[in-house]
Amino acid sequence: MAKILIRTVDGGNALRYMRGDAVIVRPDDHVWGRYESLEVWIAEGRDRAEWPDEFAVLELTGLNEVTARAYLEEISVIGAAVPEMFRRRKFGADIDALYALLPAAKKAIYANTRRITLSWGNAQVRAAFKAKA
Amino acid sequence: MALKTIKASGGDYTSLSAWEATLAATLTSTELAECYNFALSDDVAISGSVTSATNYIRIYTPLAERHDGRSRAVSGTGFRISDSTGAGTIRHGANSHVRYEGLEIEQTGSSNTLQINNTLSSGSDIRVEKCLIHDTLTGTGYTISAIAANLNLTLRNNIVYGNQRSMDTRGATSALCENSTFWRHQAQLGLVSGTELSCKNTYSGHAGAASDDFWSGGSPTGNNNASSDTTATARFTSSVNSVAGSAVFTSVTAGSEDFSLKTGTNALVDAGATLGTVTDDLIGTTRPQGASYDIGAFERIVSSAPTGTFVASLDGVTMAASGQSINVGSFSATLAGVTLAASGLVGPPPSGTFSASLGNVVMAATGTINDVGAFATTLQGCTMLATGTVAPHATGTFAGTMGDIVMSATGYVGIPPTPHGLFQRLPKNPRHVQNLP
Repeated sequence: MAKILIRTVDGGNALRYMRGDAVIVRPDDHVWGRYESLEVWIAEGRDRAEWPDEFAVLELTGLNEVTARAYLEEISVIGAAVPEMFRRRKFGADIDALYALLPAAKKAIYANTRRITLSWGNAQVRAAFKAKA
Repeated sequence: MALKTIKASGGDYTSLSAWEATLAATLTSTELAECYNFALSDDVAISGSVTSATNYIRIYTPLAERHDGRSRAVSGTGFRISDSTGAGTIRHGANSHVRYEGLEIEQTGSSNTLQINNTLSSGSDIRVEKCLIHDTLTGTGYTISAIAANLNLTLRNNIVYGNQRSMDTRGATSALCENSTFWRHQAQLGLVSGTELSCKNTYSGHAGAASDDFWSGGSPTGNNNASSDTTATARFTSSVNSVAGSAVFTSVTAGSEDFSLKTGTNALVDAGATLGTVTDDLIGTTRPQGASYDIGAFERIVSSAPTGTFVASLDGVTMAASGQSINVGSFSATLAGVTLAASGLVGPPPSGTFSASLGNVVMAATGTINDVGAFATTLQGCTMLATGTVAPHATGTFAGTMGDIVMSATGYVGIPPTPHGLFQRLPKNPRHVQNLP
C-alpha cells in the first residue's frame, strides 16, 4: 500500500503546491514527521489546535508505490530552452470527493488524524484523481 | 527565522519536499531546513518563493550529522538526497537567495544533480558550500548545470565527481568557485565557462583520454588552480598543470572516492592563495595548515612538530588537616576543582597519544572519636573525558577508565564491647533487669 502526502491548502502562486497536490509518496511502513501528520503531532502530546493543518495522508490499499509516483509528475513549460516548471503537479486529488467516500466512523477519525484510508480498487477513488485543466 | 528539522524519524519533516511545500510565496523570515544523518530518496524543487538577502532559504546539515568528505555509500554517514527518476536531484525555480551547506547530493538517473537553469531575479545569491555532489551518469550532460540568467553563484569547499561533465556556468552573471575539487572518471570536460567564472584554489581532473579540465569559450579569471591536463595554466595565473588525481588524492577509484590529500609530497599542498572568504575546509579544518592554503576542498592537517611531549603533573601532594578538638569539631582536607588536561595536535603522521591520569590517590579519614562521630571519604562529581578528533579516515581510540578502586568505610566507634556494653544480650524477662550490675 502506498501512502501519499497531499497538500490541503493552496499555495500563493502557480508555482506552489495547490490543494490536492501529491507532495511525496512513501511505502506502507513510513512514519511521518510531526508537521506532516496530525497523528504524530498529537501522539507527541502537542495541542491539536496548534497543528498548521497543511497536509493529509492518503492510504490507498491496492495502490503500489511505483504507480503512485505517477501523481508526482510536474507540468513543464512547453518549448523552454531548458527544463522549467510550469505547475507543480499534472494531477490533483479531489480531497472533498475522497472524504465523501469515507464511512461516518472514518470521517470522525479524519478529524483527528487527517488520514484517509480507501481502496484503490474503488472506481470512485480513482476518479478523484484528475489531470488538471 | 524559522528552523525545521528533516529526519528519518522523530523530526518535523521526513522529506525536503514536504518542508519546501510549506514555504510562503513571499518569505518574511529566513527559512532553515536542518537535515540529519540519513539517506533521503527524493528529488526536490525549490521554486515559487520570493526570497531576499535577509529572507533567504538555507538547507544544511549540522557538523555532527554531515559527511566526512566521502559519500554515504563509502563512509556510511551524512545526509544524502538521491534521485533516480532523472528529473534532477535539486532543481531551482526562481528562488534567488538560497544556500546549501554540508549536503551530499546524488543523481543516479539521467539528469543534472544540481540544476539552476531558470531565470532568477537580478542580484541573486546562490551559495553551495561543503557539499558532495556526484552522479553515476555517462555522456555530455553536467553534474552541475548553473546557466540561469541573473545567477550569481558561489561555490566553496565542494567536491564534485562523476562520469559526465562537471559544471556549466555559461549564462550566469557570475560564478565564483573557491577551494573545490572536480573529478571525472571518464574523458569529459570539467568546468565549462565563459567570462563569468572566477576560479581560485580549485582542482579539476579526469581519468582517460584528453579532455579539457577547464574549458572556456571566454576568458575566465582566477589563480592558483590545478588540472590533470594543461588547461590550468592556460586559463589562470599561478596555477599548476599535469597533476594526476591518483598522485594527490587518497582514492579516485569509482565507488570508493576519497579526495582527502595524500601524505608525503603533494602538488596541491601549500599551492593555493590566501582567501579571506575561506577560513576552513570541507570538514572544518582551519585553513591554512602549512605555509599556505592547499588547492581543493581538503586542507591537509600538518603536525606542529615531528615529535613532542607535553606534561602537566600533580604528584606527591599531601594535604593534611590534623589537630585536637576537645569538644565538637571537624578536620577536613579537600582537593576540589582540579582539572587534568592533556591536549594538543598530533599528525598526520606520526601517531600520538593524549592521556590525563589521576593515579595512586589515597583518601583517608582516620582518627579517634570517643563519642558520636563519622568517618567518610568521598570521591564524587568526577568527570573522566576522552575527547578529540581523529583525522579523516584514520583510526583512533577514545577511552575513559576508572579501575582498581577500593572504597571502604571501616573503623571503630565508641568504647570496646564488654559484658556491660551495647552488644550484651539483654534478658527477655524485664524482671531480671534489676539484677544487672
